[in-house]
Amino acid sequence: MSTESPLSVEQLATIIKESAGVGLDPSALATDSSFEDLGVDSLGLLGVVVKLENQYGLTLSTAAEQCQTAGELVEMVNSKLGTAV
Amino acid sequence: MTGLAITGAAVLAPTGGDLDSFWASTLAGRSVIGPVTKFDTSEFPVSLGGEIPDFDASAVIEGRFLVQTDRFTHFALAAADRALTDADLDPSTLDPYQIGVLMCSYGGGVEFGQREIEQLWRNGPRYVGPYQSIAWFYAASTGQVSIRRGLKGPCAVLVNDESGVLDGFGQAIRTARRGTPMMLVGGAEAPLDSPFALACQVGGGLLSKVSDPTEAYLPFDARASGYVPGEGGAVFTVETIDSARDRAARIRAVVAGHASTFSGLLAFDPTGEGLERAIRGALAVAECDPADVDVVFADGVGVPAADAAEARAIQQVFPEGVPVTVPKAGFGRAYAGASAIDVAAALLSLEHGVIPPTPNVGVTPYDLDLVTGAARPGPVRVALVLARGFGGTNSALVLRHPDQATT
Repeated sequence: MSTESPLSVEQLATIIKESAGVGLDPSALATDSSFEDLGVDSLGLLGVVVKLENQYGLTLSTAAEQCQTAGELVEMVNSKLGTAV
Repeated sequence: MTGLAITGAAVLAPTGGDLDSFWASTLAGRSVIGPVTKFDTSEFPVSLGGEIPDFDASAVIEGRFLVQTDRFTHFALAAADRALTDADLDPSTLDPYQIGVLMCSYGGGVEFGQREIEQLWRNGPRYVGPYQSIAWFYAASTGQVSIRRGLKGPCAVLVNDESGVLDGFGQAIRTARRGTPMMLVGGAEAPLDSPFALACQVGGGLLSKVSDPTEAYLPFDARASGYVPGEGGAVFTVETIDSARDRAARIRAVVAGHASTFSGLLAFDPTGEGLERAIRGALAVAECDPADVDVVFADGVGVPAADAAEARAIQQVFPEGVPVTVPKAGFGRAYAGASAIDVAAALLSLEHGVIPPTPNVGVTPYDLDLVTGAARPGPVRVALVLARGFGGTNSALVLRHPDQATT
């Protein structure tokens, strides 16, 4: 059973900074801006997804790497956390 | 005129992180070889290195590039920026396809790789990051410099140890002939950051095991016992004379000739014939007589058989003698960065008209006019830079004073 609290944009910003080296204000992640617009390229996003998987004990599908926006990714992670047994 | 103009230069050496401080140290024959500080070497038979003090990559390189690169690429990125600035070149104002990039490496991202391999074996494949594939390999520096500065001309990497940058200038000459007038040529190495890096070098069997920093790396000395590794490198902007003239660029030196030979894998040819051929070839391309050469920046490996071979090659080409110097004895042999740093020293030697000394070395038993002790006043109009790689390459580069640039 997952006891993790939901992923927040603040936590995601920290992970993006650590994994992809891109410093973002959490508010920027709450918009519809694409990862590409925010300066996170495909390899960077891959690293973020793997970090999320390891940190939260999840397995995300390859759809995670194809998320266009932070909002999509946060929702995907939190729905996995919510349904984890 | 077959030469190319060096219009920008930047050096990152253990003896100086910019050309001025590097030249001051080089002129003084300063030795900065000391104990390796990044990790514990007590289990190793060697303990010394030439380290760059105070290089803060995060101050000059953006985070998104830092996470995906090893320190050897940080050196290249930083030096490339400075070389472009020194050349008064802003790639964003130029046709990007007119500038190529060639950054040499010999070890690649060893420290980055060691960290990722440790993750693999300790925690499993899921803990290996996505950047391992692009951070470790030798072409990372070329690729990242190209991407970061938007340089879209022909790009390449040479992985032949110290020969790399000299051969890189040869490649720039050929690339210019084929229609790309500008190139960023350089090399940088980070061989002192991880136990794995040092273990690989110890395995080569050529590192000095002497623990006294002033006695360990003594090229052409009777006490020569091997070399000490150094870190860092240099980057240069090189372009056709026409290109330099058209934009009224300052020409710092002229690349007048290059040649390279191969004499067998993983050994220094004891006859020195391969190196001799390379020297003669470079002089021929430069249309330069041996009598016109004012200084030889020697390879100076510090391994007795290699020193003897190099001395023989030099004696064969210069029977009347020629001043020889090995500044790297003061800061270590930096593999792909070594000849880059030598080219920087040669360029400065031409500019200032002074020959720097070989640090720590006293009297040489070889019949060589080795400059030791104090720097020697010139004139210095023509400099020859030599480099040999462990892969068996022998390379020579002839540099002329910019006053000798003609079309």
